[in-house]
Amino acid sequence: MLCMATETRALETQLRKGVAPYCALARIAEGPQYGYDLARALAEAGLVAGSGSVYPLLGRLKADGLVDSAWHPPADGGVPRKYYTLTPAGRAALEAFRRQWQVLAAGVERLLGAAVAGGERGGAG
Amino acid sequence: MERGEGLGPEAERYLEAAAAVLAGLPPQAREELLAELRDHLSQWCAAQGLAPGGLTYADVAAELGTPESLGTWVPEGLQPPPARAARRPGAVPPGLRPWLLAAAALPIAAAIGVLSHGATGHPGATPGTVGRSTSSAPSTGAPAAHASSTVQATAAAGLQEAQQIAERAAIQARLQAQIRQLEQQQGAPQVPGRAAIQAQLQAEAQQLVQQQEAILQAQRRSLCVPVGGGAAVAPAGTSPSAAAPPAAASAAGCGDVITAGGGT
Repeated sequence: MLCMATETRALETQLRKGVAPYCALARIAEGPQYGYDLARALAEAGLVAGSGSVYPLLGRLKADGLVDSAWHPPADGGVPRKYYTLTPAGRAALEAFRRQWQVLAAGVERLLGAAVAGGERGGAG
Repeated sequence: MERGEGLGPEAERYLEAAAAVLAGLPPQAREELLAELRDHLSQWCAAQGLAPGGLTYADVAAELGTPESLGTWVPEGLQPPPARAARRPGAVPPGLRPWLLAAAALPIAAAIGVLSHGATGHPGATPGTVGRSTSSAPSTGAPAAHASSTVQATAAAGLQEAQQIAERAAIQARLQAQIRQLEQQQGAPQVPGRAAIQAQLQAEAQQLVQQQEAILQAQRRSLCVPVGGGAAVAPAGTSPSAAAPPAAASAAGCGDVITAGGGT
């Protein structure tokens, strides 16, 4: 049982790791974002285990040249915050992901749907 | 409030643990990440109506995730060893394995060298001589004590080197254990008796060094081999030390003699 739970967690982690960077890019594509808001959005969507995970992720996106960052004071004043913006490479990566995701998600849905339908038929027969 | 100002000791402890997990990152990137984490905590406290100074470790971990979870987003190859792969308790850290293998292999290699020199003795060798010659001329048989002390000096040098390596390995193992323990402490909320754990660790590390020393002592004793193709092997029914020249027996600083093969 413990092993099953561990495997489930590992699967969840891998799935998140695959999509979270692009979801972050998608969010930043809407406009400059700072860490706290972005972390809140991704955590609420269940894409990161804790809000803190978003920061290393952003660092990685920056290292890969997909986002840029700069410290600015917020519009309402106060302490400067680090804002993230999309680079042209980030925009291109996001678009490529969108296309691939649609194909992938449709394929997975089709197979999962068929499996569910098959299971129901098997159960009925 | 400035970034991170006023974060309490518990939050600082969390950030220290996070810094350790992020140790593989370039310093600037790591510092920026930590600054962002501080900023995040400040904003989160403001949103919750909490005082940053009163944050507990558990509060911070609940919001940001465990410090270890930060490491999952650090690129492969930049992760520090503890984050790259969780090791079994007591397992030898990968970086130490070559040292330990070398430490184990050197005395063995020295022993093989001693025994093989004796086993491949010159046909002309007679009891009490060593049939190994470094010149092209056939050996007429050097006094066993002289050759034996030369070989034993080589073995002793090998042992000394092995001992130094093993001591370094033991120190490294001890430090690694302490670091792991500290990381575990930092990763877990409210660990009581930290000083006691540290003291226990120190004692265990000392014990480890002593065990290593005992092993090396045993290896040293087993290597005190008077050589010579069985030349110094004690005849049946006599004490081996009776057949070994005193100089040979004392050359490596030990008195035990084993009976090498080939002489019976």
